[in-house]
Amino acid sequence: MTSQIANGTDGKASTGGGRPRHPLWVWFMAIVLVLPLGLGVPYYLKLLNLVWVWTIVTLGLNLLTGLCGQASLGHAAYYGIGAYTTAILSTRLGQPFWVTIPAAIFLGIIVGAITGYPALKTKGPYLALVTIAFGFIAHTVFLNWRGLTAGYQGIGAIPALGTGETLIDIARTTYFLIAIIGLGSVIAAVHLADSRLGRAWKAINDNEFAAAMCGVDVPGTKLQAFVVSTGFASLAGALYAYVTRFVSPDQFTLDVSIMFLVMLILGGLGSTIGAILGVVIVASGHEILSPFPMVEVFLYGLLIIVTMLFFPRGVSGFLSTIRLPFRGR
Amino acid sequence: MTLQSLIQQLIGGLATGALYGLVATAYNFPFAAAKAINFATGEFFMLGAFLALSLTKVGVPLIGSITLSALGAGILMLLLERAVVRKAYGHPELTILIITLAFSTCLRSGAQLIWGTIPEAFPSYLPERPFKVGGILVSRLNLVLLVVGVLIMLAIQKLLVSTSIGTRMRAVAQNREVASLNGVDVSAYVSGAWASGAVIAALAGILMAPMYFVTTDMGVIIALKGFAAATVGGLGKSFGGLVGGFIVGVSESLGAGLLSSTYKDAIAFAVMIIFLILRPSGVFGKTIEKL
Repeated sequence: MTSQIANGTDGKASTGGGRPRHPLWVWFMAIVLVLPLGLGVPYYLKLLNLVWVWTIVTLGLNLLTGLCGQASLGHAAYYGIGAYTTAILSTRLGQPFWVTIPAAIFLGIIVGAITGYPALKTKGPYLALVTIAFGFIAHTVFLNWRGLTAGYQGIGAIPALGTGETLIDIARTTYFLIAIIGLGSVIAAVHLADSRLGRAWKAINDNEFAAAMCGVDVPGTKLQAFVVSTGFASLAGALYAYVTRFVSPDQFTLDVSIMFLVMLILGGLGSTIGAILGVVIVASGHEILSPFPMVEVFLYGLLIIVTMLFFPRGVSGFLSTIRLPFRGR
Repeated sequence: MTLQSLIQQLIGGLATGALYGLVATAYNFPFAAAKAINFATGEFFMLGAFLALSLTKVGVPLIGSITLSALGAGILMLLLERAVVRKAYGHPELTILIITLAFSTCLRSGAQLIWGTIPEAFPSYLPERPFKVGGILVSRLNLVLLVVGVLIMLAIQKLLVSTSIGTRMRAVAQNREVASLNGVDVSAYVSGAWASGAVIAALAGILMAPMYFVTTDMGVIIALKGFAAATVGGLGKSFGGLVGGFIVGVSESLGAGLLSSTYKDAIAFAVMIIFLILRPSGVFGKTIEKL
């Protein structure tokens, strides 16, 4: 066991006890993915696209915060880096999505490693604050590097991800591509959580000293968690640019970083299905409460306090105490 | 850059440095007592300014409104600690972090609901006109900020070092069990540390209020700069806050003068990151937990 955790960060490590690799709900989601294609209104498809995009960020954040116990309050910045990379490459250089999306992920990971390294080298609450600070720096750069980002005006006219003759065809193919990438991310997150690396993250969350005693390189493993989660965030950002087809600095503020954390905590820290539930809850709340932004933010704060005190495992943890045909893990 | 403008920048940097030092001290109190970062520190800063503004508007004299608003912030934090934070002791560090973050979002949006989002001017209690010493313009508000900030910090230091309350506080910070065995009411002192942090943050907010507009977002950036100062001085080290504040404030102000003021905030954070890499225990830190 010791050497298993210590060596190898191979994503395909064995699972304990021969549990099914893909729980029922992954297949359920695969079916859900196809059904919305019947929707005839592009607006609803766009909303569902956003749900997938936020799900990807929250899944990555879950690996970092839910499994490894490290909080990031700057994920909007990595999300923004992904979005701007895509926007710039596709509008200025006319690159297709199979170039822009990997480029966005690559850049997000590089910047994540550079910002995560000083914060995670030292034991302490530094990551949360360094990431907030980085969020502000990124926002300043988006706003002021006008030659590259067009400043507060933002970058518009980003080409659509999908193709087709009519608007609804474009919306449907876009949705299909995003849902495929989203489902791929869900499966990747489930595998990562189950891998040796994932168990090393959980070990660090449970007890850093014990994990170190078992041969886990604590700062290095934390950094891996952070970098993986920034990769998810920049992938989501790249897709976000294709969904809204317009990026501007206002879309990547501290409030957005906090929103991601709210989604994760409400859904349930450490649970993959919880991450998805949290996104659906916050996205619906956002639709209803958008005329009252302050009330919305206030309610988020209150809900987080109640969740942390009474339902530390969030909605998914609460649901798993009730018997349901499909349950979160 | 002429020598005069350099000195002017330096004084401005020291004044903002004193402000960051106060905010850093506000972080250090709960960190020393409960190993927790209060993410709502910036919101107590903002709350201090707004409460003082509202009290001044209804005609409470300056000293009264300063005292009442600092106390108000302290009492609010005390209630929150007793009602909420207390339940999270013994849970993973992440729990308190998230709870105080939730306080911060609630306080900020709550303040927006009460006071609105339009920036308000704080009535200045000093002549706005700067005075001149040997060709150097000195802003009176900056001078007040510097002097009062340093005085508050010296008073805190005096309290911690040479009173019995201070000794007990340090005992709680050093070893709870031993402090408790020696008859210190640890839980009261931990609550007290949270409340003291909020009081200091509120005082800093009131001090800064006349220099800029009072807005519900005023605490966000200052809280980060204060944390940078706390990191530079060494988290949990009471006097480290002031020194860290001066280092961050001066490098920011000189950096803004020499380079560009657009990236002023980035300079403060860069100083923090340099310290995290080269000297993570801060100027005053000696030992550091390593894994």
